[in-house]
Amino acid sequence: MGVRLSLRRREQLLGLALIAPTVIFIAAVVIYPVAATLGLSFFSENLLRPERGTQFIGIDNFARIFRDDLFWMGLKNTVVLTAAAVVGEVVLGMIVALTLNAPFRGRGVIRTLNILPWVVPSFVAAFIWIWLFHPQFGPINQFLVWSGIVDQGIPWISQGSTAMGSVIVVYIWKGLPWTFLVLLAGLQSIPEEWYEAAKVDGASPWQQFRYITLPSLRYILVIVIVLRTIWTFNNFDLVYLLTGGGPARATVTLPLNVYSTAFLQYDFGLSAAIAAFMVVVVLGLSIVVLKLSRIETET
Amino acid sequence: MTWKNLSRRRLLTAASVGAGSVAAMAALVGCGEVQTVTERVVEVVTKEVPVERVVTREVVKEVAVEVEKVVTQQVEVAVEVEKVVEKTVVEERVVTKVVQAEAMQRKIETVTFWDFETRALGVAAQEAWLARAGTHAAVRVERLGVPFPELEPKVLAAKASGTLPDMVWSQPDSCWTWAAAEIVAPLDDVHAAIGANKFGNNPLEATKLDGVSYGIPQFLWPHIMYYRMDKYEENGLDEPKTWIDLGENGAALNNPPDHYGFFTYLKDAHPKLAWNLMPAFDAYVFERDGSVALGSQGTLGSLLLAQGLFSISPPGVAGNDEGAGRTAFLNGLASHMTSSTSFSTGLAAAPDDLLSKVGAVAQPSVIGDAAGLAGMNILNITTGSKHPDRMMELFVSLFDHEIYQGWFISTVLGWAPTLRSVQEGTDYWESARVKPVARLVRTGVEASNKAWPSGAKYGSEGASLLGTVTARNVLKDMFTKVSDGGDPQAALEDATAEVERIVADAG
Repeated sequence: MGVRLSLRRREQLLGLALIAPTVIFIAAVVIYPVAATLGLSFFSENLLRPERGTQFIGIDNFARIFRDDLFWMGLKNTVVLTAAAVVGEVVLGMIVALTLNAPFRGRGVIRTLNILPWVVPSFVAAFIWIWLFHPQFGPINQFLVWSGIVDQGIPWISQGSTAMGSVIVVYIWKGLPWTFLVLLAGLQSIPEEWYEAAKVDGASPWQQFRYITLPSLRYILVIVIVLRTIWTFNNFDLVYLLTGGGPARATVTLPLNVYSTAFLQYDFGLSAAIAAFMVVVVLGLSIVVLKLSRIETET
Repeated sequence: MTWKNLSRRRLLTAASVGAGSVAAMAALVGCGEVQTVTERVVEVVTKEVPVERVVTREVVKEVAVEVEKVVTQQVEVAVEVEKVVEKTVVEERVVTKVVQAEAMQRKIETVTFWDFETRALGVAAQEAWLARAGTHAAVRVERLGVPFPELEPKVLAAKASGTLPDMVWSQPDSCWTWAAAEIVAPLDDVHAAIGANKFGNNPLEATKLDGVSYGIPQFLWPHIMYYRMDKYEENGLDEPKTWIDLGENGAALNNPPDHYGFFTYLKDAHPKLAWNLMPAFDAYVFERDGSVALGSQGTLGSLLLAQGLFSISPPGVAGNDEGAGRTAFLNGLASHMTSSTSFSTGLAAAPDDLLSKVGAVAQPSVIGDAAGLAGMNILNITTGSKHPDRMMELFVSLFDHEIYQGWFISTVLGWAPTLRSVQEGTDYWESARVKPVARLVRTGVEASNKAWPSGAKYGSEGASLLGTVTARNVLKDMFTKVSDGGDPQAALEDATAEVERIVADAG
């Protein structure tokens, strides 16, 4: 005689059975690689030294990265790039969204054109900007030379003083459409009556923005900032294609560090330690921002 | 046969058969059956009558009789030679069949080969070369093209997983690294089988780790100094012989932003500028004993020279690679640039007969005898090969003069041969495709005798450390800082400190 399960119990088991494939899939493609990487960061694993094999070395890899100038340079550049790009995207995204939220002729076309940088693949974007920045043949420099502002083209992405600024410009250009789209969607969800009521009460446009628009978009802004921060912090392809981390490490970031340590130096243990550090930073950042938004909401 | 029916045509035919036979027999030296005929031909040749007497219609009768005798003898000999040649041809066919039959009797083994050639011509020529040599070794080579940046990780992963191919392409720095990691096998026995003194000393040294060769130099692409001869002529400049000449001439031709004295570049994955300039100052990363040698006066000298070159180069040195340099040079933006001999392909195809306006010299030395980057590709047998004996046979066939030369004439234009017999012969240089660029490629061969791979005279001693130095862009960043207006001494100190840290971390 079989065991009779209660209806509640049967529903629980059915639920578990239905979500099991998804859980297994996520465990296989997300949790396992992350856990394996975190685990690897405590081991010595260098393909160029196969005779040493894989050895548990505790926190030695972390000690090594913290005394490495390249790591600190990468961290500094990553923070600068992320902060500048996210601030630029959010500020410009807000301006563009507010502008394109107002009715005017040709708005649809301009909205569509604004999305183009987002749909362009990163490598195409990188090559477009390498061309635009080219010291001899790039349109930016040709204009500058033609107008007499400079005698020779400026090597925007290949001299230390301008490289990071140029990379930030490209990141803002690439990320702006997504930010603008999300903020525009948020703006369109704000009831028009609120603005009409504010106008009746004599609120200036700035006051309307400060006391209606911004509070209404607060949650969306938090999401935009958190996601763009994570994406920019982790981004590899655009900066790799634009500068490769150069000149002389002026634009090297932590993801480039992870790549070169793993696939050029073949030191997988050390590379895993840098990756683990990044995971902790991004997780911490996300938790802090989400907590702040919760506090704001509750108050 | 009489004089009347001995037409000039028949005489020439007979003579050509005789001459051809002599040549054929010369090629068959060692074959005992040919010996007697050789003697008779020599006898005939000594009795030969001057041609002007033979072809003159007023020749006296006794001379005609003499000629008739000689010609009769020649024809007889020719017929006999023809028989021998026919017999030899038959024998050769038999031998070929026997060889083929032997090869057929031996089981044909399939060996695997990873290279990174992507040019259609290079791939096709290499596959034909491997197939031709493979018939002698009863080997079928299964080639897998792996993009250059992916080859090293793939090889290292294959070592870790025990799935190495039988043979692989490398360049000196990877050859040393892979030798140290026991990925490629020592090949001194293969060198012995191929024969002594087949290769130049420098290319051979570049395959060695601790005095043992781990590869066969396959072809060279040394970096040489290209310069615009037409600009030199216009400005009354002499061919450059020293770095002082090059610097002064570059400065004389520098007229920015339309034209620059030099084109320097730093963006390539490998620090080619460092590898080109440091050997000229006898500067290297490690001493013979593996200790750090980077912080030398020689390295500082190379940085100061680079600083001078940057001042007469287009802006954005750190953003330019060798490809950009070639394009700029082809478009007349600069008067000088260092590039590999394979740039010959682009020059040969350039419009306006640019090739005739471009000269090339081996890069000059400043301290010591070395100079320039010794680009080369190496063939290795891996430690994972399942067929080491067949691989040795294959390699011996690959570097057989005829087989190698046949491949080399048909492959990528601008590569320079490593086999000395091909370098010193005329067939390769006189071949239709090579002849127009022969002077450039010859300069490359000359350069390869003084160039060092990876700018590292003793790099092989610290093989994997040198790889780390390159991967962390230590040399490239050192030169980039100078290109960005940095102090050469400070850049050198930073780089030296980093190399010392790499050594310390490696334990």
